[in-house]
Order: sequence, then C-alpha cells, then structure tokens
Amino acid sequence: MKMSGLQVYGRITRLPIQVILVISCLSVLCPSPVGAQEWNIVEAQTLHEMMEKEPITLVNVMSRIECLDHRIPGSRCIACEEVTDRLPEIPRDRKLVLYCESEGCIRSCTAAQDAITGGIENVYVLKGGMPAWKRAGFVLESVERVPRAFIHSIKAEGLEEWLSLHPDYIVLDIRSEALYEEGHLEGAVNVPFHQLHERYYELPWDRALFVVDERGVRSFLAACYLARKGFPVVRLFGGMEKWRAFSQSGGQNK
Amino acid sequence: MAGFFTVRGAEQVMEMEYSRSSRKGIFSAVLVILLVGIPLLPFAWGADESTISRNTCRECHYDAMYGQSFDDSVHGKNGCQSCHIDITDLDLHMSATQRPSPVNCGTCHPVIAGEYLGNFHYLQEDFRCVDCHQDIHTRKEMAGDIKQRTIEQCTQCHRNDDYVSSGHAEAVLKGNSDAAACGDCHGLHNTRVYHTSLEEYPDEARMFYNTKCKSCHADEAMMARNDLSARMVDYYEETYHGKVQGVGYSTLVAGCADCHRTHNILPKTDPRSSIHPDNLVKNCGRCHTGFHERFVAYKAHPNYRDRENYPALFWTFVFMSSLLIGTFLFFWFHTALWWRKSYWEKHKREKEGILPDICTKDREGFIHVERFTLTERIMHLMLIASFFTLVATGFPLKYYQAPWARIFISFWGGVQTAGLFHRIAAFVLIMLFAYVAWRCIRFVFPKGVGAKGWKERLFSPDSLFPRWKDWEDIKGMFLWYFNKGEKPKFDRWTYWEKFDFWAVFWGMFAIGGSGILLWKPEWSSYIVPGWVLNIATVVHSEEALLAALFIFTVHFFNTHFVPEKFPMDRLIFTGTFSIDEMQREKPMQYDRLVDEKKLDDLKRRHPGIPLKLVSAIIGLGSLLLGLTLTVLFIYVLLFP
Repeated sequence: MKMSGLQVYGRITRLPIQVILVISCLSVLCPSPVGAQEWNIVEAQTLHEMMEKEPITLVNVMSRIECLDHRIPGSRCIACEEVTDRLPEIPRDRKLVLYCESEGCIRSCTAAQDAITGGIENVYVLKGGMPAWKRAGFVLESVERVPRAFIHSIKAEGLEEWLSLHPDYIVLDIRSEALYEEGHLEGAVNVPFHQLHERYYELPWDRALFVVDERGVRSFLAACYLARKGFPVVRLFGGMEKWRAFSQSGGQNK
Repeated sequence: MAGFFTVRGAEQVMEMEYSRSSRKGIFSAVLVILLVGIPLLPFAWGADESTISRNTCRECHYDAMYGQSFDDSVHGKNGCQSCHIDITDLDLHMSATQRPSPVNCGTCHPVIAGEYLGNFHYLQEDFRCVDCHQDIHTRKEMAGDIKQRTIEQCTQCHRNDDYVSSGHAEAVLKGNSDAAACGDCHGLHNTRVYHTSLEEYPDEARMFYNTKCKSCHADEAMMARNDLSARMVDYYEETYHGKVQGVGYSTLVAGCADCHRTHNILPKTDPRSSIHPDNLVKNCGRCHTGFHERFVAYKAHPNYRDRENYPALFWTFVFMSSLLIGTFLFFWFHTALWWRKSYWEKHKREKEGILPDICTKDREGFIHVERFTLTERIMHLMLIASFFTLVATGFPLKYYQAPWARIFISFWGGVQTAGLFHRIAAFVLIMLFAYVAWRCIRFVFPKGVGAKGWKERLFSPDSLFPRWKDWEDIKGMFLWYFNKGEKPKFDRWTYWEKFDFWAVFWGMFAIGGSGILLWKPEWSSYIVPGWVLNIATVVHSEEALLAALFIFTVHFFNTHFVPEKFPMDRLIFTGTFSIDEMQREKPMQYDRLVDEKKLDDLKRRHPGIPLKLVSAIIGLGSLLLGLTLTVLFIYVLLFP
C-alpha cells in the first residue's frame, strides 16, 4: 500500500508510543518464573509444511458432528469442552496443533489453555482457524458428511411472533452449559453441540425443533444433522448474539 | 487453487495422523485418468472417459435421476467418473472401501471455483457446489430468468419477507432482469457476509454495499430503460452525507441503505416505504435526534439545476454562481491590467535609469509611520490562522473527490477532528467579526460624542465606508491602465482595500449565517425547515470558494504581488511603512496629516530585525500556502 507523506509523519510522531507498546507487550510475553506458558500461533502455510515434516497431533476442537463433517486431513476430534477429560489420548512426544471453525479461534485458545494446564508442552493454535486453511487452498477431508438441507432461518426481530405462531416447536439451545446458564430463551432446552450426537434421542421425537446457537454459524449444521434424524427444524439467524443486541436496542433496529 | 474442493476419501484417513502415504491414492487416481484419458482426448469435453461404464454404475444406482434424466441433463455427456474421480476400483467401491468424496467442480468451472473461495457459506458452513445445486444430476440448460431462480434458491433457507415484498423483488418476479436479486448485492458465488442487520457496519461493508447500489443506479442506460434517474447518485454525492462518505468516512453518515433500508426498499409513494413522507421523522430519527419535524424537509438528493422541482435551490445556485463569476471577471481583469501597467512602468524606469524617490527627496522619507495598530495586526494574524484552518478543513470535504482531499483529512486526524477545528476556527472568525462590528459602531458614534456629526465621520477619509471618491478612483485607475491619465491620488483607504474589508464583512453574513445553521442542523430545524439547510449548504460552499479564491488571487496580488511590492508587503505584520511609501501610495493622507500636523504623532521606530524576519516567514508562508491551495482548487475545477 502506498503511504502518503502525512501518514509517514503520523507514524513517526507515534513512534515513542509504539516503542512503549512493543516493550510492554514483550514484557507480557516473556516467560514469567511462575511458569504461565503461552501457546504458539501457527499460520496455515507453516502448519502444512509442519505436517509434511514430522508427525504431529492435529486436533479439531469443534463438536464431533462438525469434525466428522469436514476437517483438516488427519485430525482427531476432541471438542474444546472435552480436552481436560481426554488429555491421556494426546501423545506428549509431539507437537499439538489445535484449530477451530472460526477466525477468532476462541475455542482453540480455550482448549490450548486447558492442554497447557494439563501439562502438555509445544501447544500450537492455527491462526484464522479452518477458514484460513481453506483460503490458503488446502484440502479437507469428510468422514461422515452431514447432507446440507434447506433450513429456514428466523431473524431476531421476527422470533417472538414466530414462536407464538408455532407452539409445537421446542427451542433447542446447543451452546455450552455455561452460556446457557448465563441467559437463554424462555423454555429453551440445552443440549451442547459436542454432546448432540449422543444425546439427540433424549429429544421428543414427535416435536419440531428451533435450534439456537451463540453466533448463528453453528446452528446450521446442527439443524442439518437433526433434519437427517427426522426432526422438522428451523434455526435462529445470527444466534443469541443478535437476539441480545436486538432485545437491548428495544426492538428499534427493525 | 490446486486441490481446492478435492476432499480425500475416507479410507485414506483411517490412520489419524497425517502421513505421506495418503498421497498415493490421489496420485494413482490421476495416473489412471491420464492413461485412460489421453487416448480419448480427441473427444475432449463431453467424452465419456470412464473406465467403469455408466450402465455398470446404474446396476446399483438405479434412481431415476441417474437414468434418462442424467443423460438429458447438461452434464449428460460425462461418465460417472468424470466427476467422481476417486472411484477407481469397482471392487473397492462395492466393498464400501472406496467412497466418493465431494466433487471438485472447479476442474471445469475454475472461475466460479475461484470466486467461491471467499464465499461465506464455504468458509463457515463448508458448503460444496452440490449443496445449493442439488439437482446436479438432472440439471438442464439454464432456462428462464436467472434472477428469479436465484431468489427461489436463496429463500429456501433465507426466508426474507422484507425482500420478497420490496420493489426490487416485485420487478424481478415480473420479469425485469435489471432489478436487484440476492446475488446482485451479496454476490452470487462470492457471497460476502457483513454484520449489517444490527447496523454494525464496518467501513468495508459500507463501501461494499454503497458500491453495489451505485453500480446499477448510476448506470445511465439501465436507469433510462427503467424510467429512473441515473443522476441520483451524483446528487447524493453533492450533499454533506455524500461528501463525507466520499472522503472515506462512510460509517459516520447516511449511506444508501441507511435511508432506503436494505431488503424492504420501496418507492416513496408506498406507505410501507422508509422514505414515505409519513415515515421520514422516524427514518431520519434513526441517526438524528432532537429535531423539529420540519427537519425532514431536507432533500437528500437535490438537483441544483432543476428549476421546476427545486426553485429555491436553483436560484440560490444561479445567484451564487453569478456572484462568483461577476466578482472574478471584474477583479481578475482589474488585476491583469494593473500588473501590465505597473510592470511596464517599472520596466521604463529601469530602462531610463530613473532612481526611486527615496534618493532624491528630503531625508525624512525613510522614517516609519504607523498604519496598523498592534491590535489590528493581531486581528489580522488571527484572521489568517482561522481562515486557513477553515479552508484546510472545509475544502477537502467540498472537493472530496480530489486526490489531495484524503491527505488533508488525514492530516487533521479524520473528518470528526477536522469538523471540530472547523468550528473552533469559525468561532474565532465570528468573534473577530463581532469585534470589528463593534469598532465600526464606535467609529461612527464615538464615546462622549454620540450621533452628532456621524455623517461626516461615516464619509471621512479615515472611514472604510464607500464614498463618491472611490468611484472616481476606479475610473481613474482604468484610465491609468490605458495611459489615459495619472494614477489617482488615494487617501487612507483605497477602493480595493475597502472591497477587501466589505467582502469579508458581508461574506460573514452569508458564510457565517449558513455555517451557524449547519453547525447543529437538528437545532436549526426549530428556526427553519430542512430544505433551508440545502440552501445553506450551497451558500456556504460557494461563498467559501469565492472567499478563498478572492483572497488567494486578488487580495494577494493587490497587496503583495504588484511589481512594486513583490514578493510581499510586510506592512500588515510590522504595522509601519516609510513616509516615502505613504507619499507614493496614500498621497492625500500624507498631505492631510501634514496639514493637520499629525504626522509626527504617527512616527515610529524602524521595525527590528526579529519582527521583520517573523513577518517575512509568516507572510511568505501564508502566501505560499494560499497559492498552493489555489493550484489544488483550480486542478479540481479543471479536472473534476
């Protein structure tokens, strides 16, 4: 990108601030004597090279359904909620690379923290998650692909009306228990996504489902999975995040 | 692009860790295809290059869609293996060891596959071609309107009642393929997603969507055949909203979708439309608060050249334009003639060896006398500072499309800070104006004297008020330009100095008045209806151009660039000039002061070197800055 003279001028005047910022950041990153270890960040390209060179443990931290649907070849499926319980499955003599579906990598980071706490060294997180891997043009593998279905999505502003018109629907909240406890839609049933494959039969077979997630990107696959199992399903567009923002704005942003 | 969409078969991933051995499968598949494919190359596309005939496949896959429907489909000339390349061994396939993975359509459709790399459905939900094109085995040549089919396809999941009842959808469904369907705004295969439904517009999203709207609504041919105006975009870009958006701060102002909304776009005659007169208060109220309801009479796409629909704006525009043209015609002509005459005289003096007066007259000529008091000099400095601030913050917005506009705005740190500086400078200028007005009143009605003799004072030589002599002087100057007479003898204020003063003074009513209205437009709506703000914008903008160009060309020349003073006259900064200069430039004032024996009171010490240097730096700096700005303005005016 071309930089104008004034921008350069701006950069120079900001230099002292940048120096201070860099120093303070470095001081945070320095290993403290207490032993709070940080995980490493790895780019998609580097991960690809790493996989060619040495055996590594690659872990998809999404739910089992999502992981089997599409993942980086050779991955294990360990949901981030299960990392602590399934630590013994992770070999300690090689690098552990964690990745998730979103670019923010929050789930990978939670998992990385748990792995480090569990005593695993050499923990890596894929920068930008699977979208970055896809953008770089690398292949994926599907073990049990969930057929995509045409699932209707209901927007936050039409939610209340829709639910009142469809009393036969059960709201199925697939977020973690913690998020569910923090706040959920009235009458919502909680089955976290990473348990859905072993708990979906707890749901009443004769009811239709309204699938709700946090950001509106995971409910689609969950809904497709449930549709395959025979449930009539719809989902919440934009997830609880959009719903909360909509309710906080007092329903003004129609 | 290599490997895109190819998804490895399940049998190769039984071992969980990645290893090189998994590549052998693909390699052998490619080898088989090459070996079998090369002899069949003459048939190229459409040739059945299968090692397993399609009828063999049909022994098990007997669904109707794999039968005659497939043969009749657009892909019907392909064998099963053309797409399902990972089925290479019938026995392995039948024993469920070799299973098909999603097909790489990018081999034959590389452009679409490339676009699809950035598709949200692919990145987040891992959609593959077949997930939308579920009829892939029976797909026929595209029949009917592609936009109608797009709407049908997208609404299978994205139920969007707002869009379906909008003007765009209605037109598409009636068969108008110009109207926007889903793909026209969101992209068909490169579907982008921004979190726009709750107004969390990042800049990129704003620009993306604004560009999409403009791509059709600024298309002359398309708008003409749909009985719409392609100029609406231009009209919008002439408003404050459009200019701030154009200079790169689209999240701060209303873009297309803020007023017209996103999916439920309807003409303003429709009561459901966001821009229907009944809904305007609510619609504008989504960004603006605390306004009177006549605020909504503001025109978001006014056309200054449309006399029928916007008569007030049209005539304001005509008046301002004529004012500009008239003023510059007269003064540029005046300046050019003056320069020609002065230059000619200087040349003649030099040629004939005539020495300057200072060497010939009595030795009192070099003594300095005061022309401007310290207060007046400070006022002029404040005027310079506030004027340049106003120009450097306002013009980047006026000429947002100029290449230098963004540099100026980034110098201030964004449009918001530029706006703040603009208002601070405006405040300083208004205070100066008020002080000058007060001094004028005090001049005509001095303390202790009152109204008695006000007429004499108003038309006295010390007054800046125009008088008959000024008219005589104008005529005299023009006669002098053409060698038809002597240069007129001026008193304390020449007519062009008076014009400089009155131009600023009267200009302040136009530019200051409109500026105050635009300062906080919501509050102004309690005084004037919204359309007056449109007028105020035109007045403010055109008057600014008049003021800036006048100062940077006419004032600069008259006081600094005339050959006698080039490159600058320090007088306004030092406050004094020599008696020689006074005799030459203001002979009547000199004679008057001598007669009244007041000259001695005005004598001052010669300005010191520090003051001279500072004056030169400020003066030359301002002149250079002004000339640079003039070049930038003229560049925009010539190459808009």
